[in-house]
Amino acid sequence: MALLEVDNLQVEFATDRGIARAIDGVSFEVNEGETLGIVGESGCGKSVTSLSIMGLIPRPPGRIAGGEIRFAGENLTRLPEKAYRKLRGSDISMIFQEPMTALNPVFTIGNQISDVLRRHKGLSRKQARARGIEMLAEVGIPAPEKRIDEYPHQLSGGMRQRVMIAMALSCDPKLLIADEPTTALDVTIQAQVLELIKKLAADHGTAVILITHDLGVVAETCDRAAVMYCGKIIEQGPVDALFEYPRHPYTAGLLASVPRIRPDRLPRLPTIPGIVPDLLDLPRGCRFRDRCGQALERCGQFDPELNADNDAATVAACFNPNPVVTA
Amino acid sequence: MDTLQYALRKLVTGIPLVLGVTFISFVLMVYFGPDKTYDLIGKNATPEQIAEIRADLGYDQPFFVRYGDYLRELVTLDFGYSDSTGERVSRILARTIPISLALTLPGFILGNALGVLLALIAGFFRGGLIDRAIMAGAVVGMSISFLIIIIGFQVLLSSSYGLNYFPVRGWEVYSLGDYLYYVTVPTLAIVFVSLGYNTRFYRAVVVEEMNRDHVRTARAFGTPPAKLLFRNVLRNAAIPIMTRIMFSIPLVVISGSLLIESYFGIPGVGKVTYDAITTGDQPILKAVVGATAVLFVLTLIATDVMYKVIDPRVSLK
Repeated sequence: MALLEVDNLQVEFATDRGIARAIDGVSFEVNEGETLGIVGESGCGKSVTSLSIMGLIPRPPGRIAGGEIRFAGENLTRLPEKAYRKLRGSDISMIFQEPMTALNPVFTIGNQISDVLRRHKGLSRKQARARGIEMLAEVGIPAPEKRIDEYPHQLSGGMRQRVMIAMALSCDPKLLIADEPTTALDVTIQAQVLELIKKLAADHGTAVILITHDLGVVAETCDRAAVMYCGKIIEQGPVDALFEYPRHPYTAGLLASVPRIRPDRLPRLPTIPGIVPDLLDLPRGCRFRDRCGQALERCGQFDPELNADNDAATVAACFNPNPVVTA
Repeated sequence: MDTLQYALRKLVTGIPLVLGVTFISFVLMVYFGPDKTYDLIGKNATPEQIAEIRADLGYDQPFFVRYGDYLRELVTLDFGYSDSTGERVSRILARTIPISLALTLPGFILGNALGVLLALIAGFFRGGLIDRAIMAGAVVGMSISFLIIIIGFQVLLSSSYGLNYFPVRGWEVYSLGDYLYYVTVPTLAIVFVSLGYNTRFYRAVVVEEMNRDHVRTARAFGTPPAKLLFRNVLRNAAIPIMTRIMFSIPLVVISGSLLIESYFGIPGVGKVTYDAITTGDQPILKAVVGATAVLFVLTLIATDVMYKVIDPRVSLK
């Protein structure tokens, strides 16, 4: 049994113009100690997926319309709020995108870490402080016994994200959700923070869901990855295979549009033509059809399901995928 | 230590502000204010008598000398004698300000405390039934005229049509029992009338704070609702909430609550001010207007210092 099983998850939001289904039948698994990357453009449902796992979808306007999220065998969508609170920060932790605003500005970082430790681990004030200093040292914050009494605004963005990581791992969670943890950081800091998450997750045996739009981050950090488009997973599989032999035209298009040093100079960086369809006004059939160069007639009639091809390493939701390349 | 230094520095920068507001009130109220000469002398006064009275009143002095006199009066709290009763103005104020404070403070505190509480509850259940019920109540409270509220409470609690338990008018306070006896109905009226405004304002503050990233972080780390509201949200919402409270203090202290005092026949400073305006009792007006201005500046400084205490990001520089 996998640590986390998301099964046909559907999440809807009530808007002024009608019901928007932000997540439409998403299924994936995360095994213990594994790192799964979820990739996609803004608005494809990455963050909604992670907030659903945390049980933090604002309700109203959002609601989980169907499907199950099973964590260690327990269906979280049915879990009462009080039991859910015991899970958050202890068994499942989360790191957010904005280190500048994600910490409470009026409390010291020690105060904030201790708060989590005292609530979930039942530590005394003194024990929690000691453990907090330990954690800060572990995430590479210099002079942690001094830093612990500082306020978030006294730290740099990278340091704050380290504090978030310390806080998230302080209770030894089984699952860590990192929602764009490096997007708001300087490029030089990004690699350090990723490396830190990778190392600490391995040390603590924590499974990680890494949500990002940065394919490079996925390639470096993840074991497996799922590509989301418009509320659905359109391809998933081991990272090597996914990057080497993408089967879904969208995955292929994403990879082609990454700026990198190529053997031949390109006249222009390739892009995926068109725009993402409106969630309130989805086309019939495949949601990617209008932007797809290899659409068939049936793509306009039926919505393709994730389909395993015996020869391929990844599963893709496409009627006309790129051919399987066997190495 | 830092904070004390900061407070002192703020106090120094407050001096020009005090000079500014007192200058304006001097120009408008004293220099171009009512000329009392002809109220004080008989019908067929000689030019010499007029000149003498004017010299007594200081009207013959140059502009800045008169402004200096006004400042001296403010600093020494010696505003002379009331035109209508002949009592020393400082004595009148010393007698009536405590009454006004005792009268309005319970309602002021309750109105703000309940407002914050209701706002936290409404903000937490934003968009839900509880939120809508609280906000509907607030709108009702805001739409009813203060006069109707006062009369309504008087009818309900102080008349033979209702409970007939509390007095309609008066202020004969010699013990705690007396105090509660006279203060209850006015307090209810003050709370009722301020609660709607307070709740609406504070709810907006709370809702804004609830949407912040750090609140989402707190939730993601399992913070229970009560703690989320009173620790994470309230502490961050404290600056706008405190600003509103602090800036209503001068009004509570000096002007009291004019309507409350006149409707309940309570001899507070509000009533004294009102009488002074209608009778043109300039010494009292000078004292009240000047003191209000100074108190506002002091409140401004105190608020700045409290920002620093509440929010570590506020720099001492």
